[in-house]
Amino acid sequence: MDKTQINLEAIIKDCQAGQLKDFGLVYDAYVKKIYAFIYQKTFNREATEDLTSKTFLNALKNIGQYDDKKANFNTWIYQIARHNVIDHYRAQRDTVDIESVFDLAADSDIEVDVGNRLLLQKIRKQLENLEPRQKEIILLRLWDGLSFKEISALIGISVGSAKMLFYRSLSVLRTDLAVTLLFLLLILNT
Amino acid sequence: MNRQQLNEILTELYALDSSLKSRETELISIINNIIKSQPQIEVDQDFIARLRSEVMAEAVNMQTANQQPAVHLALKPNYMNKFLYSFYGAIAMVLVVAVSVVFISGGQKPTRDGLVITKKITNAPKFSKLTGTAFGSLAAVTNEGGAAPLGAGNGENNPSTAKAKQVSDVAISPSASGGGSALTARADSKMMPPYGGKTYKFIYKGQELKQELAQLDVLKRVKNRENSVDTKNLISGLNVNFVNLNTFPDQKIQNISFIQKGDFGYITNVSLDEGMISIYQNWETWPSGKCGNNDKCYEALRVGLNDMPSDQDLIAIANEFVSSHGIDRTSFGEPEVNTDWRRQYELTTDKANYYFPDSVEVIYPLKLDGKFVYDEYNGMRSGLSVSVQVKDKKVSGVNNLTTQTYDTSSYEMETDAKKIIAYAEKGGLGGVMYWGEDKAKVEDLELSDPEMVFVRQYIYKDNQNTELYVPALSFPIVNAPKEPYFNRKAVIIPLAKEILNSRLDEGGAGSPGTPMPLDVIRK
Repeated sequence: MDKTQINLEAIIKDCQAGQLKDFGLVYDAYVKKIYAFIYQKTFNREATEDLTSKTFLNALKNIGQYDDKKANFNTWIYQIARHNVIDHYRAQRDTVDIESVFDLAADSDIEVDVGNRLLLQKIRKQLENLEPRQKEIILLRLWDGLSFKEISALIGISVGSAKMLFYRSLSVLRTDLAVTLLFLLLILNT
Repeated sequence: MNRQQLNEILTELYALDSSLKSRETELISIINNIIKSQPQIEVDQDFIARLRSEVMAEAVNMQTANQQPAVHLALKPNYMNKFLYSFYGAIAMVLVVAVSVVFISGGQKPTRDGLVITKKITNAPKFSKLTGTAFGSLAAVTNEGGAAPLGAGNGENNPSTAKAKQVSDVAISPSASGGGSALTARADSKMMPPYGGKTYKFIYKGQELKQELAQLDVLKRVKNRENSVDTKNLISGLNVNFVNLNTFPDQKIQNISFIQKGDFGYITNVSLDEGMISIYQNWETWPSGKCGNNDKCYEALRVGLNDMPSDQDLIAIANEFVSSHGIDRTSFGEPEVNTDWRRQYELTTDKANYYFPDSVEVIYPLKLDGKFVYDEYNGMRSGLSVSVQVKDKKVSGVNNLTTQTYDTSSYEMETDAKKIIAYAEKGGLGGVMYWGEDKAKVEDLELSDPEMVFVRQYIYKDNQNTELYVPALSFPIVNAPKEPYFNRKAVIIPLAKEILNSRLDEGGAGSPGTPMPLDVIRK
């Protein structure tokens, strides 16, 4: 098989029919994206490896139940990863609000990789005026490159709502930037 | 994020609020700030490869569980159907699961949601430290059972131990429906260089050598700590009514073979005693197996220069086979192609009649404790051997897939650098080709700075074959001669004093190319 012309759709259909020999190609296409997605929620390498393993094994085990009419494969596998992240935090805390997962990673009592704690705090600072759901949508769009259609299927809102939340998030960030610039101007002129 | 992706986002925003167009610069700044703050993640490639193996192993298990297993036993035809019928289904699956559990996961069973815990199913090397000289005297080490020198492009390296010999005989005997067309030279079949060939003298020209490690660990591969497969129940389930197999006490399973009957089928041999799995063609189901006695058929399948795949393609084919069959690569380095066929082709003067090999070997070099394992004769890295058949562009065999559990014990090493260099200049374990001191035919070969490696050695005693990995120095040959029969890459010197004394001091190693004395040839 010419790897440059891999038809993932056809391979996924074969896997759904029980022909799993090319599942490795599906793995190759998604592993780095899923790894990055999970790491950006946990900032912990060990947890990320565990959850990535679990995501792909869950995807393999349940591929027969994947329905392309409900969502595309990209959305489906990201959903599995997202649920695994939620379960991961639920094992450590009694209640977890999915929109707060990102904030959870920044909490001091959650284990994160040493080098990334400062970065995490910087990102948190940058996005502190956004609601948790707004944060998630911004990062799904800009970090993970998911389309609004995929985002809406992933977190269970309409495409229009996803777009509106994204727009409002940027407006908030614009205001923050404007305030910062104004402050700087005032400082420089005094 | 590239410009196109950025434009896409901006277009989406302008569709919601066209007034944002006037603030494009600001928007781009905000978006870029968020993108720049994305953590740069370096993914561990070993983890990616390991997880892939584990996922594919699970995929194979799932697919197998959905299919009827086909098990072949060599029995008299009258009883075969009944025997096979009783062996299908759950019994066969228990065998497969039992073997895979014993071999691969060290006895751990699937848990948690019915999924195998992937982290624990690897074949990473495990070491257990024993007291010093725990393996007895190394003076009994021989080259019998050593990895066969690699033939021209084919690498079916089967150790020629008494038990493994059985396995390898099955592997290469046409009657067992296995084997390839160009067999590897075995350890006991020395390739004779042409009469009147050159004498090579090794000369060390590296930096000053210091070897100050007086004691180093020798490794002994543990083939199968305990054969924990419950054979009593398995045998009971076989329902053989012409003999009571349970009347033989203390039985254990020694070898199991599985055969595929479809096109390009394989035979997989599991040797529980040797802790080794060999995979080879089911000869009857491959195109060359259908030629019978028809020479024209074989001639039509003969390989030419244009058929030879690139090294990259060979590695891709081998990698795909290894990963799709869940063969764990944790113990091995990056794959390398045995390019001897190409070297010999370039050096041969009769290119028109050159016999291209049917298959080419891809080696995944075994790495133990940070050091690669080398072949004692040709000084090449050795390890998992995957043969790729050239015509069909498919893997035709896998050898040296073994358990990776080792006992370690310290032994005395040679620290006299002058002695070590002297051994190297005599050719080490591979010996030296010597046709006499006719100065016109003596060629100096330069040896450069050595690296610390392991070399596999065997002790064969009381019908038992002990597989050892001995610390050694590999001296690369810098200016290899341009003779087709000379395929050595390095001179290997084991550092264990007892081995140096027994194999090199007394001239016991011999050389694959050690010629007969001239007076014998001339008779």
